[in-house]
Amino acid sequence: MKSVFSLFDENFFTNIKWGDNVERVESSKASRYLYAVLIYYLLWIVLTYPFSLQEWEAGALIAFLGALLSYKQLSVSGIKNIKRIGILIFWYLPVFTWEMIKANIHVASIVLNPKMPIKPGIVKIKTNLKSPVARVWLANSITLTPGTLSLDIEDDYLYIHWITVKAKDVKGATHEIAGKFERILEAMFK
Amino acid sequence: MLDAILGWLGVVLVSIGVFFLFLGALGIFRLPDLFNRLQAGTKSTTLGVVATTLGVGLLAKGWLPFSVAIAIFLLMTNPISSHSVARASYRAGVKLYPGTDPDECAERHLEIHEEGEDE
Repeated sequence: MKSVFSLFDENFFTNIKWGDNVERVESSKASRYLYAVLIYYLLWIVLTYPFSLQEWEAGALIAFLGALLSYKQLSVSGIKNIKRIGILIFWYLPVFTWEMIKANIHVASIVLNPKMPIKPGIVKIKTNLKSPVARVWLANSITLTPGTLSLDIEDDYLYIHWITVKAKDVKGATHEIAGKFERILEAMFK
Repeated sequence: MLDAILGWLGVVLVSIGVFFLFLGALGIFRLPDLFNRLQAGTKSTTLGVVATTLGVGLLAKGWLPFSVAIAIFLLMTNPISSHSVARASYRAGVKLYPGTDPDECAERHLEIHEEGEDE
């Protein structure tokens, strides 16, 4: 079951060829199983929203059985993902929300301006992140931040379409585009 | 009292969402080439739809968990789809806006075509 919940986890990209410079770390089976139980139970509770005790009992049973069948497909990092979700909610999400609002105001300012002040270009940035999932998160974050859209990825380099180019060299562009998120994602996928 | 406040918050969120969705549509209409249009489309639809769903969740009682789930799903899938559209159209050779200044991707694009590597 490769669902949205695997997006924290290296397991999401098992059938893609990556270079030599990416890392995948596998946790113990017990922790993977426990993580699957927790996620399934939480999902059950949310989906059967008007809460009742009977639903919760049935949900616990189904979560334990379902996890037994599918924990190997759900995650590789196991219980470590909980820490990631914590960082995601309390550190990443505020930064990300602010960036997204800024991005929308930026788009608005371009679209509503009669002169359309655009100066597009495709720049190259370098990332230090080793884990494949961290790279996906970085690419997605870049897409939703002001004026940038991730086009392609090759080894350590991402190609970014930028609507108003501020720095043309790799270093400047990396600092300008990826700087904020790279620190958070490094802590998240350590 | 709390209900009224939440209701008004919902109305505000829905109006913000609708406003940004309108701006996104305007951007798709006005901007010159595919990549710029994609930028406007992705950003404004993401914030617009997320704000609208959350607002509806606040307005309609008992729907908040579902609307939060929908919002999370949209946040995770929207950039992926726009990325894949952009990548595919760059590789298919969609023309860039003439003023596009550094085009670092061009060399790589040529390499791919010479090797005949096709995914």
